[in-house]
Amino acid sequence: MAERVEDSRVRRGSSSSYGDAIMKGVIADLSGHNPPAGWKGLTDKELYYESFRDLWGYSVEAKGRVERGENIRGEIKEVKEKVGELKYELDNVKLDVLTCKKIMNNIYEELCDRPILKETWLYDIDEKFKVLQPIPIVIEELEEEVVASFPEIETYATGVNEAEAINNLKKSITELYRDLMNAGDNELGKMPKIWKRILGKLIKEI
Amino acid sequence: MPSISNYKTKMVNNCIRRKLGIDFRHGPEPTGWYYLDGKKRLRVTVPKEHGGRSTLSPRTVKKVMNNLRIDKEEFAMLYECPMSGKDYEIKIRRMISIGQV
Repeated sequence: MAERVEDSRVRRGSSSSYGDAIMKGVIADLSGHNPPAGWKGLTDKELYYESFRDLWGYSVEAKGRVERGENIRGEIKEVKEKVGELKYELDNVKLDVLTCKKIMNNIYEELCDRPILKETWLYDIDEKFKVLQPIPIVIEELEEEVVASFPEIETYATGVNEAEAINNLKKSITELYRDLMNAGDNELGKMPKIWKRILGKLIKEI
Repeated sequence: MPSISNYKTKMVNNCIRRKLGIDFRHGPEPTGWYYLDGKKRLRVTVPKEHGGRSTLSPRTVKKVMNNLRIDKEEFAMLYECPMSGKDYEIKIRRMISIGQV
């Protein structure tokens, strides 16, 4: 066997090559054993290539597996990042949903509370007052009460029905008139001064 | 923050009287003036309870808020206590300085 190795080395003319050294070791290992079943008497060269091919094949396969592993790891990392992004987006969506709920509740409250609106005029206010010009008022009929208001002077009154609300508004207007007329301009803020001017044009105490 | 339909009439009345120093006149509707620097600045009406209802209707709450020149959140703060009479005064002074009141 040793002679055959020596021959092959001479034939190849590369006695110091790395492949030969491996081959030598392989053959030395095999020298103490009987040939395996199915041994068809391979030459040294054939045996060399056979072994090397096997080793190379394993190495390529292992390399492939490592690469695949790295790819999978990379893909897992990407998936994790995407999951993180999705979580963030989901949190944003949750916030949006909460905001929408809030808005919906507000709209619902607004709709439930939407009154029947009417505009009308007051031609008479009190026996002690003269109406110089009809007073525009707004009536809002709600489920359980009626609100009458004179928006220009920010005065309103409520009642269980329209008549009561209007009567209360009339009283409120006359009270406001007296309060304003009894006060000097230096005792009034910006808005009360405006209300005083408006009321002065609309009603007059007899 | 309480829902706009959950404000108790008596509580609102007491709160405005106590914190803002508004003295309500007993007429058909309790009405009072908010004074600042000796001047009448704002007029507030807090209606009486109607039909056994102890809470103010949302519509009325909005009218009270308009009278007081405060929004929903500020009204809730006034009702639930974080907003003091002094805080309210600062707010109105700010509005006076820009000519809104």
